[in-house]
Amino acid sequence: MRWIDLLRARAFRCSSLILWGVEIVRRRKTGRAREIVRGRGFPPSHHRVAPALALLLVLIWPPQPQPASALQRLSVYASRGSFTVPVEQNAGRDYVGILDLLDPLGQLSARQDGRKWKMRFNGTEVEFQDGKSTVKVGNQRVDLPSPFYFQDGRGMVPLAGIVPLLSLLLRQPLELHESSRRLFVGEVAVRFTAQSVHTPADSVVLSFSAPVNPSIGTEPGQLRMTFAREPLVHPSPSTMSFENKSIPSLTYREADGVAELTLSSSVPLLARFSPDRKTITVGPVVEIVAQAKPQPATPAPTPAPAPAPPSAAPTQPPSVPPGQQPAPATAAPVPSAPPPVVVVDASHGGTETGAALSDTLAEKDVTLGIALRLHNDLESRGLRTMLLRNSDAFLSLDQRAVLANASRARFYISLHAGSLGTGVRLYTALLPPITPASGPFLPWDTAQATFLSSSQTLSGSIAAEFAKANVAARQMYAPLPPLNHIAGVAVAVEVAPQGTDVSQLNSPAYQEQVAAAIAAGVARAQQGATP
Amino acid sequence: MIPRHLKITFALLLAAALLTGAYVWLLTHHARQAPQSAELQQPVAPPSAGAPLTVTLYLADDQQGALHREDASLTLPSDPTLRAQAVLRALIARYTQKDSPHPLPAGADVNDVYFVNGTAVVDLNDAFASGHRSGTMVEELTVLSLVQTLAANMPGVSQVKILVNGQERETLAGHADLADFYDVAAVGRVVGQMSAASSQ
Repeated sequence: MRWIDLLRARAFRCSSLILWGVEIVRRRKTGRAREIVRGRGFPPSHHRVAPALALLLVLIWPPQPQPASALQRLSVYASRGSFTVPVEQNAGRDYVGILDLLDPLGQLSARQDGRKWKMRFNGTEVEFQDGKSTVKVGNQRVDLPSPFYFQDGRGMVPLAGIVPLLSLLLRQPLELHESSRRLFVGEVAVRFTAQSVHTPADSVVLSFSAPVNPSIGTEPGQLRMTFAREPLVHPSPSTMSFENKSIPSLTYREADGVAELTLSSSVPLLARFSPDRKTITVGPVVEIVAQAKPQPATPAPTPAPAPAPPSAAPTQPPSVPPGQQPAPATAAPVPSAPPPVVVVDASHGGTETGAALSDTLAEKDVTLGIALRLHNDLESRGLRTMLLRNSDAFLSLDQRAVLANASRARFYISLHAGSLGTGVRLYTALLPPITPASGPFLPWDTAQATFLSSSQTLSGSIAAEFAKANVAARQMYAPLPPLNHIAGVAVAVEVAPQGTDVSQLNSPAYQEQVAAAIAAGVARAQQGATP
Repeated sequence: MIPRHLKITFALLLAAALLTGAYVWLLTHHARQAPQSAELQQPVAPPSAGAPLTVTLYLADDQQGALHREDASLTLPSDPTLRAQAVLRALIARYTQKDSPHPLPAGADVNDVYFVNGTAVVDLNDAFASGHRSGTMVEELTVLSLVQTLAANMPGVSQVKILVNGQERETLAGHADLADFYDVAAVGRVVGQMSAASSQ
């Protein structure tokens, strides 16, 4: 690019100004300053030496660190899928690479011809010229609000001008939300309605026109759903008020390529997704868990529910990370349904990523991948299964224990992943040698003590299945929360690669092999427990 | 013709620029080498007098997933708190060496150790926890190593509580429990089982 020209020009100008100032001071002493100011300038030798000296100074001067600027992106929603393209700033305007924008939307080829840049998209010829605002699209001309330019071999067009340009190329209705950097190609918008309901008490039901998968975060006084991949559009008005003492209002906003729904609340909230992911019920934690807790149609295998944790915090729900298969969503159990047999807990999630297994692979994604497969494998064996998270959501350790205990499931499987060592490690709780509690209540810190023997049996059963699958498995104790607080048969599984290749943890085949062995082990333990 | 004083000025400027450049290069060079000299950041035991004593360290080994007992000779202070600190610092110093089988972050240290009726409270510094690798086994090995080493050298300790910078913390780096007390007897059993399993 022109950085070297810019550097040369600046170096020359700086050196000229310095020398000019020095010469004025010197000649002022000799009474000849006026001659220079009138334009006489420097002797020719200065012009030859000064740039070289200045350039040398500039080049050897240590570079100053530049502050990192935030990466801006344009979210594009199309019938083929959603994607983002980077947004660059030029002369105070937002620009996007035209190839980045069009490549996912159709057949594209491009070539540079001098200062011209020719492109063919779905059979239509497009011609740009560096520094010009006029673009030829077939036989028509489109005027951009600011000039097209090249940068690192990429053709950049102003964001404000992409709608007329793309309209001719895509022949579909387009809607650009320029301030929030969101582009809708075709009739893809997802709309929603919100309604306050009394069952569960003081809850709000959000109904969407298509399945959604937001990531959810909580802060004191609010629950926020972020829709990064869904073309969610705002209703009118963007703030809704409810006759609801727990959730008085809902606010929609969009910015930086995402849409957000924020529910203000006076109590900790929990969100639960419907199986088709078109409905999200948000309500007070107590109400949602109470509704999800099944009636004891069959005697519960656990002798007593665990006590409440020392402090209850707001919980959150689901959203599948990019690249994951759609989750077999956690269905809110109907009141008459029997309790699940197994609770599967994919550790970490949301902002809590767990171990960084590689530069691109986080533990939370591996555990979710295995959890989804394990859910399917257990269900196919006829074992009712509840996933504590089926998306990239954060749950605190206490919330996991509360939800698992409230479900009254017989088995609890916590999934972890690590890059250390090989094979699989099966952990049961590391507890002091105490006499298990009897009676209707269990101590929170040692709730697992009653079940430790059964947990070790389950661990052995799963280890035997791994041995059959030729995956090395080791049984250990670990101070791994929330195992100590689980009032049920509980085992944590930490999956490591079979060799040194950490990427195997993300391999569907390996994940399925691990899930199948765990499911077989649980099924065997269940058969052994059934009279 | 360039006046002489201008030539001198430019020569001086050029020399200054070259010297500055060389100085910056030297600083950069030293900064790059800093992580390699992690032993410089290892904790220093408090000064003490007296004959060296044999202490027992339980060293974690990532590859084997177990702790190995090792004896070391240390000159220990008589005060139990300083004594416990010295033992743990000797342990951490082993982990911050270049060829450690269980590396801990540079700057990891023990702020304080104190005893309350058979319970030892170990206060780790922030660098210990914030730079620790995340993972069930790797965190478990660290915690068990600290607890078992402390218990082996400080008779009468039945429980260990670990703090970070004087504060309670839920986990070390996402996995190992720091919210509860560690029972020394239970940890001893687990360490024995780990060693037995790794030697098979």
